[in-house]
Amino acid sequence: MRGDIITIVEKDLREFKGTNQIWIPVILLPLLVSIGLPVTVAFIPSAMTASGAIPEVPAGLLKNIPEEMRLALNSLQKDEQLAFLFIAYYFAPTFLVVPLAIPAVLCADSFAGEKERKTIEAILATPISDSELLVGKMIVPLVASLSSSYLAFTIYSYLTNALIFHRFIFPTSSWILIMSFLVPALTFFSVGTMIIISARSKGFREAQQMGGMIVLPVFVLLVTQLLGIMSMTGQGLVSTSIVLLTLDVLLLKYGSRTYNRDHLMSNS
Amino acid sequence: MIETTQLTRCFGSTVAVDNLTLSVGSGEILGLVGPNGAGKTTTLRLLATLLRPTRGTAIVEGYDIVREPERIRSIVGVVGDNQALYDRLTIYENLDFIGKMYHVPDRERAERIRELLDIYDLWERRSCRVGTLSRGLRQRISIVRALIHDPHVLLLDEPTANLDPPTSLKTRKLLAHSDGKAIIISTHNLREAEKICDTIVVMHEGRVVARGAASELVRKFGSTQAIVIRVKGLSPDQRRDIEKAMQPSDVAFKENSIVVSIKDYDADATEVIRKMLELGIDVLEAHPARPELEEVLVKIIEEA
Repeated sequence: MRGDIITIVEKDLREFKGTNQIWIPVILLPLLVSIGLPVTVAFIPSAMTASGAIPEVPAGLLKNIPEEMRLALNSLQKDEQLAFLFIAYYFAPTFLVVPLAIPAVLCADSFAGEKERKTIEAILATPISDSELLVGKMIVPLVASLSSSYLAFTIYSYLTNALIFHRFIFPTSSWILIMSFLVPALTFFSVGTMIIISARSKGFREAQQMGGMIVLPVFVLLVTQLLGIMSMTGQGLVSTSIVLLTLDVLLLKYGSRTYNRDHLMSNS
Repeated sequence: MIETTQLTRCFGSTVAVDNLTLSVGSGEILGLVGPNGAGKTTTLRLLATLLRPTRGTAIVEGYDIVREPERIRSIVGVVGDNQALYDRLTIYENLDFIGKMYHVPDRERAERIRELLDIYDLWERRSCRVGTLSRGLRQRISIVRALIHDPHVLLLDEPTANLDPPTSLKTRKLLAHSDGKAIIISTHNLREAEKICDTIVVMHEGRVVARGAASELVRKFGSTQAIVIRVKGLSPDQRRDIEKAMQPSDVAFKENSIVVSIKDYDADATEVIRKMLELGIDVLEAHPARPELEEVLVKIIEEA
């Protein structure tokens, strides 16, 4: 019943509210990415040169960038190119840590934490079905992650335009694709993976430690992007999102099979 | 009404509950007793539909535990072997949350919480975070939580563990007066089981090894090995004489009673009393020393 799902969501929010070890990373991480990255790009490069002039883009960084990015760079002034390259291209994978890490923290507490504290038994004794319970417990991590990501993206875009370029230049079409497809796909990926991890782990800490590995795809993206194997633009983004969404469906299907009363009680 | 037929649950190669067949009628209280690992908690979890049986069936208030688990959960109240309370929420929030999950209407829920918290002297502390409370107070909350939706069936795992004597008594009275409810209590507190349970089922290694009313179990499995003789008073000389006359039997003196160990009450009691009278002891009454249910339980399990 929908009312039960809402009741679970309200209870989870109330529980999270007073828990700093959950809220601090959920607030700090998006702020660090959305404010830290544009501020760094706005002030550090000019401070690195003796004259205070913004350096040109090193040739090595341009070697593996896709054609779409090369064209965008050419349309900019020389002193804007380095900042644009980082803001619009190289920082994209770093930004994706937000939709991956936030559900990992929240799910670890909501799923594995509740199992560890044995409070799950109280909910399992009520008439709610396994699938409603799963949906109810997924909502807070999903909504918190997506809203943090979009809020961080809005701050990132505003600071980029206001501090670095002094005009409306960001988001690019690639970033719109990232936010529309890749971020939701990664959020679901994180939630699905954490359900499976939580079902197997004994408690919050263990789930959080194992969940730390969830950001590994970001490093894979970063390295493949630097090497020019994969680009976070256009078609590359769409195909990555499709692969991830397919993986999400499989993860959630498998996760929902492990998230049932018998399994939870047998392994508690 | 609860009825199980050859209910079995295995965890890997371990058989936690083995072909359990029992029946609890409305208004009846059944006590599950037995050593740790006997299968008591697993039995309660199966009936609460928290676990699925490997084999066998159980019907709770006409619903099958495998086919209609959600219906069963809506009419069952559970006190688990751990208190399962949300430490970060207040007492009221904990109860309100569970009340909502059982679909108790808002007004009724508020009244019920007030009523039950009043019984357990917790209303004034309703805004306290559960994490700050003692185990005893938490246990009271978990009992209140099981009663919040006025269930037809109660499955209680050690409900009075950690409770102080007055609260235990209050709980026992509450259960004894819960008209029409079918109640199963798993407990290590045999005095409590003796006081409130209509039937006691002794479990060992997943199986039922004995069942019956406490008095029946004592009669059936407990052999009387002593006679208690109440007397008017004893001088030190009389005590010495009694010890000498009763040899080789053990004799113990307790205030105005003498406890003499014997092999068989029916065969030896008359002889003991005759000797007392011969020694000039003023015998007021004599009765067999009734073995404790605990001793009976140990015997049942040893023989199983």
